[in-house]
Amino acid sequence: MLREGAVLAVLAALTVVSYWSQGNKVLAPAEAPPIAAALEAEPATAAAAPASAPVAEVTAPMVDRSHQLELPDGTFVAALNGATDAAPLQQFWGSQVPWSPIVGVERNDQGVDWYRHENGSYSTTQMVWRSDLKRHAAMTRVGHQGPAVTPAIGK
Amino acid sequence: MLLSRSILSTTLLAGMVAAQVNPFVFYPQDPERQAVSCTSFVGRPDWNRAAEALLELEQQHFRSIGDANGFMRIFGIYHWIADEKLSTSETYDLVLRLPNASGSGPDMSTPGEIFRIAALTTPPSTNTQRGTWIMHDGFNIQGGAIVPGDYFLNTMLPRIYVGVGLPANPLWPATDGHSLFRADLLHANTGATVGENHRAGAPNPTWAGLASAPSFTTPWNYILGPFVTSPNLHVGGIDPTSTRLGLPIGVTGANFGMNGLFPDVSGSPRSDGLVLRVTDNLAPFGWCFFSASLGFKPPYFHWPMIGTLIGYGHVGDDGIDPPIPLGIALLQNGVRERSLALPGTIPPALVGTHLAFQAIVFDAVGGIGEWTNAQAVHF
Repeated sequence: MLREGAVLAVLAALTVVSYWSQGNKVLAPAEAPPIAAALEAEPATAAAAPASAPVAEVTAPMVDRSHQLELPDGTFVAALNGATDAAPLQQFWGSQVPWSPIVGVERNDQGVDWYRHENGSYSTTQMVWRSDLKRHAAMTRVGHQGPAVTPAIGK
Repeated sequence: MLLSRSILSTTLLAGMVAAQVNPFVFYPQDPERQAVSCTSFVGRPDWNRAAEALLELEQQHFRSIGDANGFMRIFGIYHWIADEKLSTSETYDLVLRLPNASGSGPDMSTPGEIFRIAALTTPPSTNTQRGTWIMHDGFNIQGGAIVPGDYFLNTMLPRIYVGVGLPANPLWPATDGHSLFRADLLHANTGATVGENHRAGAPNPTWAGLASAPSFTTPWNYILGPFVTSPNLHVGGIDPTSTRLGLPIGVTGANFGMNGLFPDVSGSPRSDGLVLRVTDNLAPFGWCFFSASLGFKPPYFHWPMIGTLIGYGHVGDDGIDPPIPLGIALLQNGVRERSLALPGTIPPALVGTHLAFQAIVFDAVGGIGEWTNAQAVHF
């Protein structure tokens, strides 16, 4: 019983590994997306076919989300800085900070694009070299504003 | 064997809906849920020279942080930054290191890096003043970093080091550059009026990792730690005579950093109380089962519960030497505290003994239970 379960689990794992090895191909960094395009949030589900369409033909197209970032409200925006397969933003937004909508895209003086949020937080995605994985992989990053008063410098 | 177990565990974890992660931070207050009033200063590990700010995760103190059924997986790093000039973005590395061969300190060689992610930057700003950022730098769940070592194979490393690398910056602190939030130990000799509050003899918990000179320990903790998917358990020490938490007079809180790991129960004059605190963003309203033992017990995996209970127990749950149950409670918005001992109630005769605490958080919705990390208390 246990052995059968383990075999099934390994098979499932191989499926997952196979899927991700296909999905994690390193792509050349793309140009920063135009702000309007980056901010154009898409709904989480594909548009339904017209009601009059025959049932047999209602096949939702597979939507490639690999270059998109899923937001906590279930919509998607373009992943920034050429990132592929970035983790959903909710995973790293933090549980104690209320979700705040994106209001713009800004580039820092190091050339990295960030989404600016209504509450002053920033978020971004980027590909980084992972020495442990021996490949580039996506990061999802969030910077929330900290305390208003910055502590003194310590020796 | 290790590979197959890794695949099996990965499969189980991949099946979880991990909409959140937990930062494992060792600091007097919970930076996610409490107003942090205990920060002594902001500082760098080696002034404005290049160095890594490394938190030492030592098996004598903590076990099963980020336990993915025997081995440790982390999903990024959380830390708080102070930037002397927000309008110029700062650069830092994320690092995870092996211990060095001599058994003390991090291995600062390139092979000693479990991973290094170089040259991450802080967000943009038009503000030319000082300011702060709370940085969440995360991997996707499939991209979790696996730390070498395994409880199943009894190959767990005695300690690992997690932190951020700061480049040299001669402008810091005068006009620019960045540093980290820290809570100084009592023996730091920095003039800090708030910070850590531990018994005498407590070791330094962090390191300044240097590439071209010997690394050295630093007498403070940072708001810094790995992102994990397992729940966190911290032990807090309560010293009613202390104002090290920076709380208003008359308000006594628990110090979940060094005071919980090294409480003073000597009775001369301190006799600290103890409290447990479990936090979990993945099952924020889950059931929490607290337990304890006299020191860590051999790691134990519930094979009959594979798929429903993740992680290893370290408080003697093998049926021969059972753990001491400490009660069941529901998490509320990701946190639950349980009082263990009021100040003045732990007898000084316990000085020199070691306790261990661990809990299971059970998500009734998902039907998955998960061990928290285990933490020691060294009286």
